[in-house]
Amino acid sequence: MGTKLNNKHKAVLSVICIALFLVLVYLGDIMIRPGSSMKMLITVIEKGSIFALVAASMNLLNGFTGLFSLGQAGFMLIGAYTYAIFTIPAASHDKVYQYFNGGVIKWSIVEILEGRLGIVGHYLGMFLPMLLAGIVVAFVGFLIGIPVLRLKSDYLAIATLGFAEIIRAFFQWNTLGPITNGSNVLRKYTTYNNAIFPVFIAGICIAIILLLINSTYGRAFRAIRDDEIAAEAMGVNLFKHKEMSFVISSFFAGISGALLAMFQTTISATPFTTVMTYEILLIVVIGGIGSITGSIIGAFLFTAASEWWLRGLDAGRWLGISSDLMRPGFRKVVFAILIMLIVLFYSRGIMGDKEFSWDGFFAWWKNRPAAIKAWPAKRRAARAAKKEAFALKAAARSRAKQSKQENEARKASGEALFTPLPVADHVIVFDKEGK
Amino acid sequence: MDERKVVLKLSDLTMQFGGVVAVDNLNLDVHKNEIVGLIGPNGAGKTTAFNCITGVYEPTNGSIEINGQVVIENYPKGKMKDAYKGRNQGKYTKALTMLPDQVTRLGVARTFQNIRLFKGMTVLENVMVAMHMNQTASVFGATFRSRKAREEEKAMREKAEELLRKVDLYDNRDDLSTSLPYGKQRHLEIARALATQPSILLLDEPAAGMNPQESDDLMRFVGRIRDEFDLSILMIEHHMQVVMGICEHIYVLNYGGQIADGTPEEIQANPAVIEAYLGGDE
Repeated sequence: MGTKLNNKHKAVLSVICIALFLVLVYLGDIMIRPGSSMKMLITVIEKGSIFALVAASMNLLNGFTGLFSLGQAGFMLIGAYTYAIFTIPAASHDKVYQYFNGGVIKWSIVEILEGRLGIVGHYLGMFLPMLLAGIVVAFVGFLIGIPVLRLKSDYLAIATLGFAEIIRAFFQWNTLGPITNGSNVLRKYTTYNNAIFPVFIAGICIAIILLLINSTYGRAFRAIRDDEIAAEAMGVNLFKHKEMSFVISSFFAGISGALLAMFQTTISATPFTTVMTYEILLIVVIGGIGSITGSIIGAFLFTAASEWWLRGLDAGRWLGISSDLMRPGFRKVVFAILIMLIVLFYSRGIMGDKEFSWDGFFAWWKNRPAAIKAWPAKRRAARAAKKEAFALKAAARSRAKQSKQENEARKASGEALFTPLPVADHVIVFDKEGK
Repeated sequence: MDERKVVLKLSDLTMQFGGVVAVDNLNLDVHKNEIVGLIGPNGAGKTTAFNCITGVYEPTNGSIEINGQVVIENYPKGKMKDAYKGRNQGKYTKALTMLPDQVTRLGVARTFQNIRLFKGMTVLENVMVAMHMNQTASVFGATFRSRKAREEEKAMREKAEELLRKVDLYDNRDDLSTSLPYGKQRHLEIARALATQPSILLLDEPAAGMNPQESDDLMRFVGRIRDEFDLSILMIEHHMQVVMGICEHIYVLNYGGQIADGTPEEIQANPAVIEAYLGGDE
């Protein structure tokens, strides 16, 4: 790859790669039979893309504006509920809200629009509540931001964490039952039917975040991260820009919450605890604080490891090894060790604060590690060796076949199969003394 | 008397932290296109005065005028009413405060004693941040690259590059700001301040940590930008060579109080200044 790519080529390359990925996800979801172990791959892609979005939104705050906020799970919760509440079909309300007389809202945006516009209305009906989820969360973020963003570093983290917990308790409040179903589960709302949906929506949202970061406002955010006092002295209104970053981050957390609701098909407030925020933070830290690429990679790695690759550790058998140690919960031990290793060897996360770029990729490819470089040759050698072994085996087989045929022929013609051993003329017997 | 217009005027500026009066009744004028020096031993309150002017601190008493308009004014109130140790209590009755970014918008830019560049950004980006405040595109426009935003971004980039050419940093424009040598970091900080299009520039120890050769360069540089950008400059400096060489008027602080002011020659001959710096006769 000696030639330098210009921007147009890079854009085309990116579009092709993204389109290819989307097509593969779409086809993969259709073609792979349920129950197949590859189905897990699709699940990981779905959940990974949702977590990539929320991690990117958290990175916008933590990595690009320098605001250590831990409210993401709470914001996702609001987004998930907002989406679910408005898309439960009218017929299912009595069942879902069985303890609250069928709830207050007795209609679904999806059904209303579907009735008027058909299939377009169906998707519009999914899209609008999702957008609404984002807007509601952005508004909540705006309100919370006013008092909270006057705090610095750790205090901000504690305050946002507190608000996230308050939100969770609030949604479980029985008095709000007719809307939120109290501490019961919301279900039967409209969900997507192909994995391409969350990947596509999350992709668009992450692209918007990237555009924002590379705009003049993104520069102002990074200036605040690097040095608040200097940023202020350069005419950047601290509060306005912090609030802006907080609201935008909340908006995308809300969208990812709506996507998570669709992914899970049922939603309750219970799992949106601080643990979930820490998981998101973990993704951000492992991927690299200040790198959206890192957040995406981190999200997929995290989801794949926790949902797929390490599952066997809980079930007693993993990579062909069985042990009594591997009982439920052991996965988390291994996971913790893996995270420690990552943090030890990549102290700034997998990507640091770098982003993916085609130039960077090709530069890396040129100086790729010897193992990867040697891989095609090794593969070729292995294939050749296999071929050779196969050929040898085939030759031996054909030789055996041939001799068998010859023997048969000789047997049929009455020829002796074995030439008798020559009989010795005399036998020398040695006695013990060797005389 | 100086006939030029006064662009920055501090009147009875007092800053008290708890029981410590850091700046005591400072009266200071900066005229148009003048280079004024603010000197004094360590802990004399020079940087505190800067922080009051730029809105980082709210002064306890006194007022600050920028371009003939009072923009910051305060009087001791609350607990400070009884604890106040300074003078001129009761002379000021208004409470006007400003945030640092508002002061910057009024055309007062500053540099810092210990360099405060944006570490994760390139030289060009550092300068472009300072131009952000004049941006009119909304956050939506900027994100989705509206035509206006694209034009503004392009104009901003061109202006930043032009500015970097003027301060000889153009060749380093894509380097990380912290990878520059120390002297150039100082220049970049000044360039970044210039990017806010100020009429008054406050320099906090620009020659700190420089060798005589570098401080000579800096002296010439400050003189040059004053003429080129039509600036009035107030600088804190310890290098006497720089201060005496470039400043037209010098104010001397000691223990927060103003002990002398005048031309460099007057200051050099002033017994109070000599005493403050070298210690008096026992």
